[in-house]
Amino acid sequence: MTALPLTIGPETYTITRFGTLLYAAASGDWNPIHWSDRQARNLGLPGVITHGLYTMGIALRAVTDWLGGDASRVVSYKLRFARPVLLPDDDDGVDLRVIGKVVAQGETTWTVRLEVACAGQPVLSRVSVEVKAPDQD
Amino acid sequence: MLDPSLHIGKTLRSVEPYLVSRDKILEFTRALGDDNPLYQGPDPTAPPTFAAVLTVRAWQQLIDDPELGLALKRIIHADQEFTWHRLFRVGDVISTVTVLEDLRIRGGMDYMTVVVHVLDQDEAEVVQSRSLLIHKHAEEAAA
Repeated sequence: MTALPLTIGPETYTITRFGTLLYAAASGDWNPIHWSDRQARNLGLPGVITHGLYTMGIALRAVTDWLGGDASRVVSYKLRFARPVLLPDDDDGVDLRVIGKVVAQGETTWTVRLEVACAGQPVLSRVSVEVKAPDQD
Repeated sequence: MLDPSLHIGKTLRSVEPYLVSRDKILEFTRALGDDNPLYQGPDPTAPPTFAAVLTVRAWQQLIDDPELGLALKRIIHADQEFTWHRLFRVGDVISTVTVLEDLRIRGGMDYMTVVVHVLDQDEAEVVQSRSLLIHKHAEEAAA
């Protein structure tokens, strides 16, 4: 196979309230802070936020696409939810910007560091993805 | 109420198995908006973070335990780590073992480290999920 580049992106993905509802149904996480502004405010948030796991799932696409779609090469994925992703009640939603770079090339696994931001602010931090090293194939 | 001396190490095993279906994988993939061919078609593989479906089910078991006094609407997800052995496939029959690995109580909040071992029909681990969940006590959140 051709050598993998050592940088990823920038890639941009859009998160909307509608997508967040689809994710609530698909994941089974019906926490009301993801669909009720009132309930979100009760918890001290300005309004509805998306699921951290949804942001996490969307951001990983930058890595699986970089791997040519072979998601089975993802070994581990670890992060901190640094800031909530606030969702305006409109059709446009918000853009998630993902960039990454390979920070370690071990014999069996490579480590990718991702930066995931919304409106210039990091929303995920300490994002580390381990993938099977290419020469293992 | 959570109590570190009573509840650290608390372990819950799923009661009903979870069956991985094609339609559920397609629903999850549609929510992600990912057109990866691996996740499509008659016999799709699940995206790696499909592990969230089993993680959320396992949390629900903790929330439903009256002894712990947890409420989903007061929970914020702080950290997450998944470690995969393989991806989910259609037809997998999944069970989970959920462990409250650590618990600290500070400033009206419970900091819970929850580990979910997601097992297949052969009791082999498919993925391990480790989460830090922050649970606000009832008096800290408006009703």
